[in-house]
Amino acid sequence: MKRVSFYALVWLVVLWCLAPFLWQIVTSLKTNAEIAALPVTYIPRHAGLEHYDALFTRKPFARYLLNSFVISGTSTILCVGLSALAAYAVSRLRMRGSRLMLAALVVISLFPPIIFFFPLYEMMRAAGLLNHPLALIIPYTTFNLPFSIIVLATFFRGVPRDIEDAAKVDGLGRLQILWRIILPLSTPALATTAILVFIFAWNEFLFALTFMTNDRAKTITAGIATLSGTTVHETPWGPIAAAVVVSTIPLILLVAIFQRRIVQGLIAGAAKG
Amino acid sequence: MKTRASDQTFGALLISPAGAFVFCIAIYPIARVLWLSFFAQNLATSLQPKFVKIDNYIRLANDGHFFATLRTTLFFTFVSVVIELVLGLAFALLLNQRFRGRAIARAAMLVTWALPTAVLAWAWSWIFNDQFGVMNDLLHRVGILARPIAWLGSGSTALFAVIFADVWKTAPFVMIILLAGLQNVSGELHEAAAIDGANSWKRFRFVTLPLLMPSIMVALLFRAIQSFGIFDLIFVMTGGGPGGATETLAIYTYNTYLRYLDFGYGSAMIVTSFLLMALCATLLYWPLSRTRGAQFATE
Amino acid sequence: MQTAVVRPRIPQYAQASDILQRYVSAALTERMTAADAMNAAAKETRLLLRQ
Repeated sequence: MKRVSFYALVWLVVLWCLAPFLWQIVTSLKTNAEIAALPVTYIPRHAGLEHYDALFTRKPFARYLLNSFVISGTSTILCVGLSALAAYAVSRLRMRGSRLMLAALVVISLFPPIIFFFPLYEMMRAAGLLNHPLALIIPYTTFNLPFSIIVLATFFRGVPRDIEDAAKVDGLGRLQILWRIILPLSTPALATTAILVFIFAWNEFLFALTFMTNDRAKTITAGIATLSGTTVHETPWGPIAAAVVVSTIPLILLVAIFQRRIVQGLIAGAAKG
Repeated sequence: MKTRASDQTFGALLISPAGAFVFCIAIYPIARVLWLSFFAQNLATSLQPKFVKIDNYIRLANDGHFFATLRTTLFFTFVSVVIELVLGLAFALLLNQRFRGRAIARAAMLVTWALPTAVLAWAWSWIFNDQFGVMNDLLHRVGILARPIAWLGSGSTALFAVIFADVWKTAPFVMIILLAGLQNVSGELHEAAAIDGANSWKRFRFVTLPLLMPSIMVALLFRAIQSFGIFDLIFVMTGGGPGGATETLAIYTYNTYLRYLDFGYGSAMIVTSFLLMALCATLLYWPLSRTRGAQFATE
Repeated sequence: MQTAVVRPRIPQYAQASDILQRYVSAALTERMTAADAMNAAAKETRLLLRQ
């Protein structure tokens, strides 16, 4: 009996977590008439994909997706690459002030984005980068650096010194040690960091909203958030639901495949914070 | 001594690219905002900067709406963070048990955490829709509501709705942090306490909770700071409405910059709210650093 | 139409209008007395227009 109520509780929690998303799936499959029908139906009577169709024909939705992939992907590669160099310096070289630097990074990573958006907007406008992918790639790379440096430094510290010393004896230079020894041994850590940075970049909203004013330059997150009907009272709930489902599929796949990694990475980032 | 010096140079070389990014994209903007806050740069000055000393701060001290949004932000932060901590702790305790399907339950919570807030805000405004929303329908079916509520149409219910959505979105994050903390709580202590006759509540209260305190403080600090700067969820769900009831500091600042084009004043707003946030964070961090010190001392 | 007045030509019209609107609403919903609300609105608007 106790076992049964325990499992009931577990499934209740799972339902609570997934319900808003499941409800979007149900809504996206309904016809417009059924969406605006009372009483509310919980299983679509005439399930169809018309709203998904509308997304790709009436809105540059494929373009939003492409922008998001390009921007998040590039930021991830840049960010992880730069962080690997910095994290190696912080964790393996005897450097003065590295602790202080890490502490400063933690503080900066806690600042809310609203603090930065206007000066960055000015900079991007002056550089002629508004509506250009770089306008987002540069800040996404920067603001994810603190987190990924901290996570990578934690993992690099775990690589045994002996291996490095042996490599030194073999005559490898320090850059070669990083490239040939430390990085291959830290592939799991690099993957974890990359997944998290990708998720953060994919989900960012404020910069994407303000730096990308041209519809074709928008990322999917900002593109969906600014979807609306011709009047305030005509919110297109069907297409929005379809958009929510499509834009979140990449993230759901990432979580489903890498959930163990993600948890480890978040813990490493938070524990040091 | 020689290797030490070259370590220093080589290290500086490795850090410099990341350092350049952080300096130009994170540190310079902070200085720029501070600088701008002493200038009037708005429509009246044709968007040209004009040095006005502390005028912007004087305006801010007399701005009733600034204090109203500050109150809304503090209320939002306090209520949502408290509920998130309780719920996140409950989730973590649940997932700390061994049971079949644990991976599925954990994945469900992670999905919630990983989805973009700005996008899921639509899901919540659809759930809280006054005419066709599922919240009204469910509450009506179980007999709690006789008549549908326009959740996002009046101040107090709209604030309730955004807090509800925020709790849903971020409780899993608290869960992850606390689950990590729980795994450090050794089973031996529990067994010892059980042998001494402590029931499960007492074991939770006197064994688990004190050991979990550092993790709780980390989660609290992270969440409080993020909540204080909340923008995306509210921007999409209510836009700060109705009648400014859900307008937080970040929304007001955003409007001051991009709707009123009052750049100097917006900057003063950021500096002031940032200092308030730093003050709150220090007040929170102080006990945090003490619990940490205590933890290290026992190691 | 004879009684119609053109909106005041000030650059910060949107801001001034929002300030007034908030205090009118505060007075109408009896969160403030009408006199207090108008005084506060006037003070904020003056500070705004001084720049």
